[in-house]
Amino acid sequence: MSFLSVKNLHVSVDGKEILRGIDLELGEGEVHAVMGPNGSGKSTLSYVLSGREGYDVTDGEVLFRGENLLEMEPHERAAAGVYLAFQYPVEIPGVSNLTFLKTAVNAVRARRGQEDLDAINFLKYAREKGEILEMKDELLKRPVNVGFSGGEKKRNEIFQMAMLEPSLAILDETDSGLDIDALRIVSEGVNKLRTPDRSMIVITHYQRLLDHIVPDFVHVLAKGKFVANGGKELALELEKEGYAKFGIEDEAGSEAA
Amino acid sequence: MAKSDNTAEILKSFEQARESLPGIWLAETRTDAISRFGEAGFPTPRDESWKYTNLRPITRSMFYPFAAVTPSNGAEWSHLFVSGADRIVIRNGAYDANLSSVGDLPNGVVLRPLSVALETGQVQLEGALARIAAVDDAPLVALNTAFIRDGLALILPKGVKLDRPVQVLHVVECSEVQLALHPRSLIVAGDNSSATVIETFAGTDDAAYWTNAVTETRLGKNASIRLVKRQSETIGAYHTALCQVSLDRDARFFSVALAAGAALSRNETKVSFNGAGADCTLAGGALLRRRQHADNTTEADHRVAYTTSNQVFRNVLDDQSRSVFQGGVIVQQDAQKTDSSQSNRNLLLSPGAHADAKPELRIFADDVKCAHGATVGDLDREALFYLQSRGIPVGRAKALLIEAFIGEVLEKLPEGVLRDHVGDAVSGWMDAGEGA
Ligand SMILES: Nc1ncnc2c1ncn2[C@@H]1O[C@H](COP(=O)(O)OP(=O)(O)OP(=O)(O)O)[C@@H](O)[C@H]1O
Ligand SMILES: [Mg+2]
Repeated sequence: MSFLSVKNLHVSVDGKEILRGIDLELGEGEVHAVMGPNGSGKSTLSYVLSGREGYDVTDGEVLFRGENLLEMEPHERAAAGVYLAFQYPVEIPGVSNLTFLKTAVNAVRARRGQEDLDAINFLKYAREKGEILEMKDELLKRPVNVGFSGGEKKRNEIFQMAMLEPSLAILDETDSGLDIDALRIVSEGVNKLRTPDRSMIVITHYQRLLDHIVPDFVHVLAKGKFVANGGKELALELEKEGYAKFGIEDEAGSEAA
Repeated sequence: MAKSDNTAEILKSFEQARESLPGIWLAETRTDAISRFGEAGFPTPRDESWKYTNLRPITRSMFYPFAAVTPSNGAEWSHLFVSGADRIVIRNGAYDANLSSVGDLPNGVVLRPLSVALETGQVQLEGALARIAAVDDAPLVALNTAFIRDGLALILPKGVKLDRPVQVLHVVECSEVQLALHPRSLIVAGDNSSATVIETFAGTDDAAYWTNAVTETRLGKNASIRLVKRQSETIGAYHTALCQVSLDRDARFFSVALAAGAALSRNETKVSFNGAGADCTLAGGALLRRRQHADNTTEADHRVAYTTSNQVFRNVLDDQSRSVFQGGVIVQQDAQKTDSSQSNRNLLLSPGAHADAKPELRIFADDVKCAHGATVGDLDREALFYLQSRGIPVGRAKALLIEAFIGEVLEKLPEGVLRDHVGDAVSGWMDAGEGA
């Protein structure tokens, strides 16, 4: 049984087909990079896997550890081990990062048959994980993502990942908008979370992230389909020669070339 | 026009009750007030300020003025006691000494049930009681004034600061008949004095009644009053209330009023600024479901220069419920440098819910700042998915967002007993909705 198996996945949004037959086999502990021009459907793939509403699966299937992922509620997927680091993390005024995380961690623990963490143990746990990402304590008290810089938001995404200990992490452009230092902290954090039993889908436009997080496989997405699949050298090739080589005209605004 | 409402019955019941009402010296005021009510009758949607709130459910019902000898049915109210507060409990419209408790007070402070103060403290009440809240164009105030029986008398001499909050807890336990209750509170704060007053309204589940409350408040120079109101009336109850505030120079009035109960409620707050430097904050809102209707109406009347007002109202509406916010700001000709702001936001949890928001700014001065804003929206879908994607079930995720929304009102209160007291109404409301 494979860890994650996506077969012939077709997805429409508002009647418009965005994903047009995705096939992806992901083994336990593997890291797959997904690259592709703006609008090619990368975020759509990440949303479908994490269960966002409004995405109609018109064909195909997704099996996660043999189970039909598409039938599960978003919070059930989270408990089962799916985690999405958002391309655009959402601001939630009035809900402190701490309350949010405590609720999330304990909800996931409950579904995994573990006991609730009390306030003290939770804080200890949060500090421990926060250190990996060099998170300032003060960020925990602030409302979720409100007033966070772009870098802080992305760091918060990986911090949450550390807290929730997923087995499948999807990182949607976690490197976009990061300066060199932030990129190092975030990617080091991700690497620390890279274990033999944790798989990742790393969506990015840039080779520089893949210098830090070296993928096992690389897929190139264009117009809702993988047009090339290969090893890490595929990303280098893409960086050097652009999408044209794969018969994709670089769309306006594409940052890849 | 032939009246199809209960005005005639109410007038009759006043004649019957009159002899038993406390404070002979108030008789003339009562007579005047009842005739005002008789002439005006109930407000109707034809009255501009009652456009969105129709009192028909009240005017079509039969009410009894007072349950003189209703024994306690053993209902337990201690969960509504604010710990550390001096407490006056008004049960079925009358002072209940057993449930009340008032500790030692600084010299000269009057803190009594109004019924007692009316019989013994005429000198202290005269010039204040029924003098701050006008009965002109306010038939419900007139009606309350006619029927004044009990409530709170709080008089603070100059410079006195009350350390403990004062709680007035109104409870109704009568289920045999529908009572009409007219609780009255009088708060007179001398120069430089300060206090916190909590008004709590509740009833036993099966009680249907009408609370028609009036709170009159006068603040002297540099005095400060914080008024916290928790309206947790039963779902069969009606609640109409007016809080009238008069501010002298540098006085500060701060109020937080949250409604989670009553089939129909109207909470009206009127503040008049009579001295420079005076400031008020009015915060509040309602949590509603089913066919509940809650109206918050305000009027900040800036009469003199250099005064400030800030209004923050938040409503959460589920099912077919309805909220009204009429945020009034008047800036008189002489009130230059007035700084007023107002924000009303409504969170609709169901397509059947409806919010009416109407800022009413009447500005007659030119060098002023008056900001206002109103929004109506539903839960942020993106935020909801974000929370769910972190493992939080949708019900809990919604609760977090609702709490955050109403938290903008709660956070106006200091952490501790005050915030908890109002916060309990929020959690009670959320719990009641679970699985519904
Ligand atoms: N809610 C929606 N309604 C209509 N079209 C949508 C919606 N969401 C996405 N799309 C479209 O689907 C396509 C794929 O979008 P998606 O966000 O998945 O691209 P992406 O590869 O993540 O792009 P980027 O690199 O810019 O993040 C785009 O053409 C986009 O406009
Ligand atoms: Mg994207």
